[in-house]
Amino acid sequence: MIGSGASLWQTILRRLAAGVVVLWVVSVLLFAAVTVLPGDPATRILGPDATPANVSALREQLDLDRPAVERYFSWLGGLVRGDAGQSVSRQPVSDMLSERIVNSFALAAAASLIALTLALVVGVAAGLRASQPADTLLSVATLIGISVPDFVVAGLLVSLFAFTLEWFPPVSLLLARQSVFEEPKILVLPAVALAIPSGAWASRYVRAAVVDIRHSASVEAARLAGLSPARVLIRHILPGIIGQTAQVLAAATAFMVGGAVVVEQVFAYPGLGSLLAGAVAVLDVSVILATGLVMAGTVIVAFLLADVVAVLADPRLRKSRE
Amino acid sequence: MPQPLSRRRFLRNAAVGGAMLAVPSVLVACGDDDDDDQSSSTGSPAASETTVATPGGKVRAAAAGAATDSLNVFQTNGMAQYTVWYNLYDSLAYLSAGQVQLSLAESINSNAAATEWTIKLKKANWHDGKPVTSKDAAYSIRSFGDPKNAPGFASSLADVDFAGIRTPDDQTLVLPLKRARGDFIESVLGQASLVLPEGSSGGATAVGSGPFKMAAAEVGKSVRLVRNDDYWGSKPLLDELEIVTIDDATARMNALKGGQVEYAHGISLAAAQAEAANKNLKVQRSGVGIATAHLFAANVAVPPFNNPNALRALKLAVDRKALVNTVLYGYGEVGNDVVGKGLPGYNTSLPQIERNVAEAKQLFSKAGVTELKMRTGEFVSGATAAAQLLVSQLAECGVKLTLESLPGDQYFSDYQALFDAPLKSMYFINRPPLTHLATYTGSKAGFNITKVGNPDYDAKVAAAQANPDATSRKKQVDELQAYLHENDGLVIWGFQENVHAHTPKLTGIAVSQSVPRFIAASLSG
Repeated sequence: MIGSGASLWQTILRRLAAGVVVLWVVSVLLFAAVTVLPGDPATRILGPDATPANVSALREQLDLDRPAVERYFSWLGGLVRGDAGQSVSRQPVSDMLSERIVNSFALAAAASLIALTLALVVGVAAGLRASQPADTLLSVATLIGISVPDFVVAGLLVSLFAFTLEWFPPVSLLLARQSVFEEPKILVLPAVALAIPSGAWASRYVRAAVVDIRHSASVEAARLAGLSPARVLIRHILPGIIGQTAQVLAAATAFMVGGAVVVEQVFAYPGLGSLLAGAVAVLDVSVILATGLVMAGTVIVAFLLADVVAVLADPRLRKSRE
Repeated sequence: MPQPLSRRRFLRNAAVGGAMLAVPSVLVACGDDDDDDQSSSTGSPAASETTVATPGGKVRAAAAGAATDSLNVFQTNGMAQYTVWYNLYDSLAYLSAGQVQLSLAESINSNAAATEWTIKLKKANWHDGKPVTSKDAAYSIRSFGDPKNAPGFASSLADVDFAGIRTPDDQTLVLPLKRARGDFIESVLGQASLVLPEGSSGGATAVGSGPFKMAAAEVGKSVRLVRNDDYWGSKPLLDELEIVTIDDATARMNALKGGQVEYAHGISLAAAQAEAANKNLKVQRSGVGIATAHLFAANVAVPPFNNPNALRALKLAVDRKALVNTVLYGYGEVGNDVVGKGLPGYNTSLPQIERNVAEAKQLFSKAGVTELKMRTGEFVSGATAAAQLLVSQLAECGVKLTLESLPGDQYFSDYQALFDAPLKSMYFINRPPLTHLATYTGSKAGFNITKVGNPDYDAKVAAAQANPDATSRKKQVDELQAYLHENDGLVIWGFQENVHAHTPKLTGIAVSQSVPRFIAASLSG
């Protein structure tokens, strides 16, 4: 949580600087992980029937003959200069990433919105009815939502909404020169598939926060003062859980980043997740590093934003800063 | 099509492998507008229907691929891209249902020793109106043969003497070889001989000479092609053809069922079975000629399979029919331990190896084999299921089999461990026997998984390759197959057909070398 003594902006800058260090550590870990995996891109691309001469030629072309440490620092140097390197397919990684970042952020935004709505509606409803049958029912439902794997949720959504009701396309196809904003319908099913597990998980924390705040002195006082339950909810309970909800939603974003790799594959959605899956298949180091850093950066920024929201939403923290 | 030695790599192999026939060393086209694709029906419903083909319309065809694929023809590594190039460019020759078909080549002749091949080109134009010349063909052969430029293709052209290539006139290309190759057309040109304009390498504005022209392209999304009205051969019927990249087989099927594409290349066998009765789509089977050979590979250089009794016992213990029916859902045929079933050159006179539990037990006992270990993994769909079935089949023969399972994408990471393992799961693309055994057997083969072969065997393979006479070459190849049937450690339990699906109204798709060709396709069903 952002400290109350320093100015908000100073703290944000400090956190961003720490984020850069975290990203560097992530890049080292990713590079090490890819390097220790058996095989190399040349053998993965050419397969087992390639002659040693052909493998050697491709290794040379892909710059795999140099020591791993040298390759890492060469990549890092390029990144600092704004060059994310080349894919094994010789395409500039930045070109491959640019549109997919937009697509993934569109998907993440839609999924976050759905997850937030789900978390608030289910969490508040369960919290207000704590220990009642409705609470138990919602608890079981959210547990199912958390437990069922992403690809199963995706399959069920396709079966119901694409093939039975025919409301949405089963596959999130984008053809050449088409943008996701021209075809917003393709976002719906993957966004819901991503949002269900994270939203269900977040709703359990929202419920706990609501249960806590319901027994706080301020809410008790409001109730004794004769405010209607709706007013108590809007004026006292919801503002009181904003900070915690933001934190939980940031954590849910981290889950969604991981889930996107699976969900994007299932729906053939052209985002960072499917790009990463394809890159891992051929050990395309530059693409793996770049995609991994964007994903890690997203999580860092999500937690930072959550902290900022928490500070702004909490009168005590605002006052202490003033 | 990976695809690790995954689906993508498998598909890529399939695309450049394929069927071929022991043909004479002279091949002449039947006419200028021979419709290779239409005549090369693979037995698919689409190709065999009798509906009247009508021009017009747009077809979206889904095939495997990824954002990391390349628009550089020489570095193609995904079925979606192969589909683009084989509909946008022409080959000198290609293989269809096991037969060599001439395309841009009017004729291909060799000298008596099969050390020099002369190719006469048809009169054809590039999409920009310029003529296709022998210089373009020479450039293409040199580029595909350069390991640095085209590492995935170069090995098949390794016998060409690139420095000696000549172009006496605009229509004539002379290819000298470093050694005699009587099988040069079917084993080399028939596998990869796309012709590109001199100095080009494909890309988003690629110019070809094929039935479709480039309109728009984005790697990992789709490539849109439009009809080439000036095509030198039979005119294509479709106005537009969009090749859509969808890497996941289930997603391809979903896109077809949801009306987002009209053709799904490569669907899962489970999906094919599940949708067999669906009247809104048709399942297209490739036939066994375009197939994957599934097998267990025994290393005959190390115990216990250096003992012929142990090897014979293993061959007799395997219930091939049960494996085909269970693992392949019936979409295939049983194997007989030689690659090439359904293709010309395959030795059909070899006795089919049938399961014989009693004899297997006796031979295992004689060899002292009571326990075995097998390296396996889901590197190709069905490999793990087949291995698990083998556990129970060997148990019935008194042998306890322990599986050493690896993640599918790491199966080929440690070649040495894979080669050294006495027993492992494996697959091969079903290629004509001579092509397969020249590449994967013998002491000089880079990927001889069973270690079969010796100098005498190597010499016989080389002699068969060099023999310009098709009849005697067939006899040589038959003998080599008989040797492998007896002595090789491959236990080929089944040949899995390639299975695709399309909407009922789409007809006329021909699949050759695993790649769908849309020149005769129409939406007239």
